[in-house]
Amino acid sequence: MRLLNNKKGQVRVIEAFFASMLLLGCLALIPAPTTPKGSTVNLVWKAQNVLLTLDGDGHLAGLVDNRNWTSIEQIVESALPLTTWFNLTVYDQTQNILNPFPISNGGAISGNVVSYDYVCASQSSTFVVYVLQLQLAVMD
Amino acid sequence: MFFACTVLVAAALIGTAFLSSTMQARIESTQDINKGTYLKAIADHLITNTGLPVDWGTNSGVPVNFGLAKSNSSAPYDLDIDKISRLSSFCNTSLSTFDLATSSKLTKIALSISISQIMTLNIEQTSNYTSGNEIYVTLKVSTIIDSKPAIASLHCYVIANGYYEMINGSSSSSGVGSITVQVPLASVDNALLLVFAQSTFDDRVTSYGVYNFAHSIQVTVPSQSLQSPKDYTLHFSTNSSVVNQNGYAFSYSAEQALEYARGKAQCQVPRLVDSSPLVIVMCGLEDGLLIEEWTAYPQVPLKAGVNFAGQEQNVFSYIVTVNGVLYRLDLSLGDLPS
Repeated sequence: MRLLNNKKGQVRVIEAFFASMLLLGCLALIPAPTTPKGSTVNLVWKAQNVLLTLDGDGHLAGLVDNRNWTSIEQIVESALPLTTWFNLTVYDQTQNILNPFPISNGGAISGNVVSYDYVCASQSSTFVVYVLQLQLAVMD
Repeated sequence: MFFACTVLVAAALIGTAFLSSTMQARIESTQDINKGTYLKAIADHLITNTGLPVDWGTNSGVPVNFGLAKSNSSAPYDLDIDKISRLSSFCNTSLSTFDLATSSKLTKIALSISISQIMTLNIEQTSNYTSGNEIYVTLKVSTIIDSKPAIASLHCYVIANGYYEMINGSSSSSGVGSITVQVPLASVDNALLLVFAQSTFDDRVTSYGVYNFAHSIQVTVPSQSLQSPKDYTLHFSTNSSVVNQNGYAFSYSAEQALEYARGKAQCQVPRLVDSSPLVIVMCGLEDGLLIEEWTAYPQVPLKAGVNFAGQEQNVFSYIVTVNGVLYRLDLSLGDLPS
């Protein structure tokens, strides 16, 4: 009964409570690991391998020259695993988008999307440079 | 005061636990990335380097350094057909798992390489009937890329001893095509059907399949007695009881008879110019019976190296070209030694 009636130190308890809340709040604000995850790094490697191989001997640039977007979509889709989402955008030298419709195997995706830019040159007599931006993500 | 201290200590403990778990996750993540990057660099090195000597694919010795890239190639991920062939167990100078480990300097990390065609072909017989001295066989050819149906043009060859026929066809958007071939009844027991499929969107996606009429099944393993070619030369086993009579090389859009001289242990394989794997068929006699033997160049699908059954493996997948044809290559590396 005497303990309950003892009102001394109440402010200290409230102070300690707020102090601990402050401490926990600070800890909660520590950022999560921001280093890239392994799967994200793998996707960048994958994008690089696919574009470099498909453009062997200027093949991909030739398809862009001919505006053969369907073939580009099909060959990129064939080269990637079924569970990988992709979106390829082709830019000209002045950063204008050339493909009139999205070269992709699906709609928007929620997840880590990596982007890889690849510069290729037309093999035709009129030297044209294209920038191919390949975005990849792993579908759930 | 006592309660306040308890709250503070509890908060400190929770905070420490939270911080340690956060740091642990960060450390593990960094370790995984380091390991992945290290193993990926090894895989890249094996795929993009020529090895030493640079033409070890055409030699018979074990290379000093292992590397699959084609020498003098400007394109990355362009592999040498003979180096690929030497990974096949059907090559008379194939590299053993031990040779692979020592030449790649990976004696403490398990290594396995598998190569497959981009487009898979499935050949099934759907019906047959006999008319006169001919048998008519209808076959369903399925063309699949990554479990999805693919439209493809089909070039098929029926080869039997003294009989040859070429049929063209196509697979629809459902990935299925149908072809009917006729084979003389007298030759059906040693006849082979070669199917080449080329995707309509890229001629580098070309695959082959072989169908054996005698057993009514698709065969994926080549004839044991016919070695895989090397340096565009076909070597014959001198111990074989088979007496070869003539041979042919087939690709998607071309075929050519081999310049084979009876009794010789080897003959040249023509360099057909189209983007296609080569299938070589030898016709001969074994114990007085007509036989057909076949092999492919490069011998794909293939798998070389250790068997990872039940063990940790890190798989790195590549799209590569071999003689202008796209293939899928999976390079598996075991866990790092502790």
